[in-house]
Amino acid sequence: MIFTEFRFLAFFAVVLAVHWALPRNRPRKLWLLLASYAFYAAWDWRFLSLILGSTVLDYFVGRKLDEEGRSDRARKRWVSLSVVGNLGLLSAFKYFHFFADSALALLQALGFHADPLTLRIILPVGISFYTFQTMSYSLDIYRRKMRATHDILDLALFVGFFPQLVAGPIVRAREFIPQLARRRALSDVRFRPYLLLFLAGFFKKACVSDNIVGVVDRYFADPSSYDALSTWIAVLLYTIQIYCDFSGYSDIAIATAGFLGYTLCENFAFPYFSGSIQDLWRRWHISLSSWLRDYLYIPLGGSKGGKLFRYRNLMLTMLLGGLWHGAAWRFVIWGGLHGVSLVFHREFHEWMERRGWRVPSPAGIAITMWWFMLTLICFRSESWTNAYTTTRAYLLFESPGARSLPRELLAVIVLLGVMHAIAYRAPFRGLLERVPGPVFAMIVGLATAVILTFMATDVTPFIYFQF
Amino acid sequence: MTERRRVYAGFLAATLLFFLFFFLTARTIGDAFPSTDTTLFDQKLAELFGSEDPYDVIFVGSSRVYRHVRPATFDSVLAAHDIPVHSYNLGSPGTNAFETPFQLRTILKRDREARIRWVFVALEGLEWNMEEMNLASDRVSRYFDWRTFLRAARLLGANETRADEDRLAALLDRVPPLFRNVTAYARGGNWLREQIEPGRSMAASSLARHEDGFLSLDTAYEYSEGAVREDLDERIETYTRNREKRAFRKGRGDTDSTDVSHQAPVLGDLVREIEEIVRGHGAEGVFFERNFNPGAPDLQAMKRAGRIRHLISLEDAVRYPALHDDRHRFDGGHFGAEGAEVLTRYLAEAFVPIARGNGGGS
Repeated sequence: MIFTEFRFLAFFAVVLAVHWALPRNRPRKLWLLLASYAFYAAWDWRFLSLILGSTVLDYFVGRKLDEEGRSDRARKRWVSLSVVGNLGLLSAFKYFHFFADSALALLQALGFHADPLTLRIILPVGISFYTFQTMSYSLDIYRRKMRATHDILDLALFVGFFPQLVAGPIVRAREFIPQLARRRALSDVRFRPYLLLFLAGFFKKACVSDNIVGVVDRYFADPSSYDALSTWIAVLLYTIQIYCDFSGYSDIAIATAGFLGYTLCENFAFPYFSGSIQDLWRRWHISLSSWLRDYLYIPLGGSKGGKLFRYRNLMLTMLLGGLWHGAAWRFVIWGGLHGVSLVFHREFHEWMERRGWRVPSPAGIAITMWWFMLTLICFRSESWTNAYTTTRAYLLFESPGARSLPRELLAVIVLLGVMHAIAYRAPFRGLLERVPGPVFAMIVGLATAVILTFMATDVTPFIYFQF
Repeated sequence: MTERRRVYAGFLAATLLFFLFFFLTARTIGDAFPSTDTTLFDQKLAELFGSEDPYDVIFVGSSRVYRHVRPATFDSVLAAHDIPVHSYNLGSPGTNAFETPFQLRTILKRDREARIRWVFVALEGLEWNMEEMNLASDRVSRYFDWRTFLRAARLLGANETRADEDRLAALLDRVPPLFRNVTAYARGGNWLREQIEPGRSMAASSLARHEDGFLSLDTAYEYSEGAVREDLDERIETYTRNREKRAFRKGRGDTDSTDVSHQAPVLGDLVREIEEIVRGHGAEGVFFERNFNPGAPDLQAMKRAGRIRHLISLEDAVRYPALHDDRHRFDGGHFGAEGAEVLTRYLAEAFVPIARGNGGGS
């Protein structure tokens, strides 16, 4: 069930109505948990056992970690159980083939005979998200940043809460579980901003991303047959597609949670207006980058120690962050490229600061975008040959082929860029929240009609479902 | 007014305004985007109204109009009777009877100078071409308005040959096209994708080799290639196989096995609407039939009931033996070039007295 499908809207309408009709907090939480499991089961009910397993594991680990008088050594053992359990789950279901195939390739390269493994494991939707969430729960208790919950229902709802279950944002337990403690009041819900966010997310996913996916797929299936301008058009469109797809989904997730009275963290803050690559990673998939910072980069040593040590930590974090996106070397390389660019940026920034120089903001934005797009080629390409061909055409403006994508797409790109810039400046956001109710209703009616008209007919799966 | 009542009243007003603006916007912007499913029909419309030599006769219907009525032949037969006409074939594959009124409104709205005097209409079965895939198409959503939905519901309700659950399921299948119709769902998106991915839709077509909107299946086959050729080959093969098995049904005119009496109220309604549209434009409607499907509408009953003014039926195998000769067929549901020629001649000859009676010639 995808957020932009009508059956999701029907599902959500029922969930919302029953949720607010229930008078007490516990039945509401139970209802939301059942709805969340039903939502997940709509994909594949068999994988519910993984979510349940992960929940039960971390519930007991959390209780053990929180017990008074437990030694540091014992606590470390318990938290290791959570990390090994969750990462084991993730490795088994997401990275098994990657490691197995890589090992096979290495053995064959070394001249050993090795049979390909025949075991095929299906990737459970959203596994990367909920395993990270559950792990953060145990890690936060271990670091004494929060107390363990005594109610398994709260933990189960934190792990399985359907708005963020399959594609984030990656919610922190210490931010979400306290919200479950008290009964939410309908009067506390700020419907207007959430409704606008919902519509914005719907537009980004269903009207932008789903409409351009066909052109992008066509180009990346055979980049060697296109000219240089088409390469630029395709890479620009993919840059738009991936942003609209993922941030649109996050917007809908935040809005649906908001309608139910819960607050989820912001996941995107106009990353394409970032003045540097470091700035971009503070605005792009914020819940993941902050998770990697708090649970990987800092435990590795963070910014303490010498320069080489710092950069090693940064590179490791980015390489693993790349691997999180998918079980393939191209994602690792993508992470590595970002690691290198972050190291370079720090060096360059220090060098500029010593001279009292600054990169002008528009130049910073342009350079950051150019680099981000370049790295996305590796992220998107299905083979190394295709990645090489596209990168060459992108960098040197060489035309490997004669076919061309429609030039009208440039107008679409400019139009979307202008719309994005207007949204960034948000001159009307405050106004929309202040206008009288009937006027707001008219605006929402108009916006809904526009969105439905421009929706793509073929609903395509969200890109991040596989990550 | 109490505070609670004020809140409820405000909520109600906001809801009404939401729907009002929603439907107004959907209607306004939805109509601005042409369908990507009806390219052939749209191209024909452009040719019809772009011609320097205006047309005054049009033929509307499915592929059994598109592939069967040759305007050049029709015009020459009538010219031989001193009735000068210039006709155009607007037949479009897959046209359902429910679509015909929508097509007629679309056509006649563009005929601002009211040059069209005769509108030939052939209706397919009322329950034909309503498979799930078609119901999900943009083309069906264009005409599947409230009136069509209610007609479809009445038709299902009256069809007692189908089980209740089956009828309910079929009715539910007809809700999505209604929704798409009233919300203009995905029209802009489809249009946009057609611009940025030309040829994405199946409807990409050209009027090359057509003559006044007509293209016989033999000619289409001769120049076909790829998937189109494969499809045509399959049709021929299926036809040949069925003919050998003697399992091929020749249509309602040839068999009495299909009872379509339950269709009468809806058919009457539909026919009345078609007559109103055509006459409202100052033209005259002529229904004609040479059916291949057992579920074809009973237009002769409509004629007997006085609901149809002009009906040309070519169903009689004794009067029109060539139209029942398998040699003229291309496949199970269509004539080839020769059959089209024969049918058009019969049609034109049968039209002569009608045209004379209405001042169509000397």
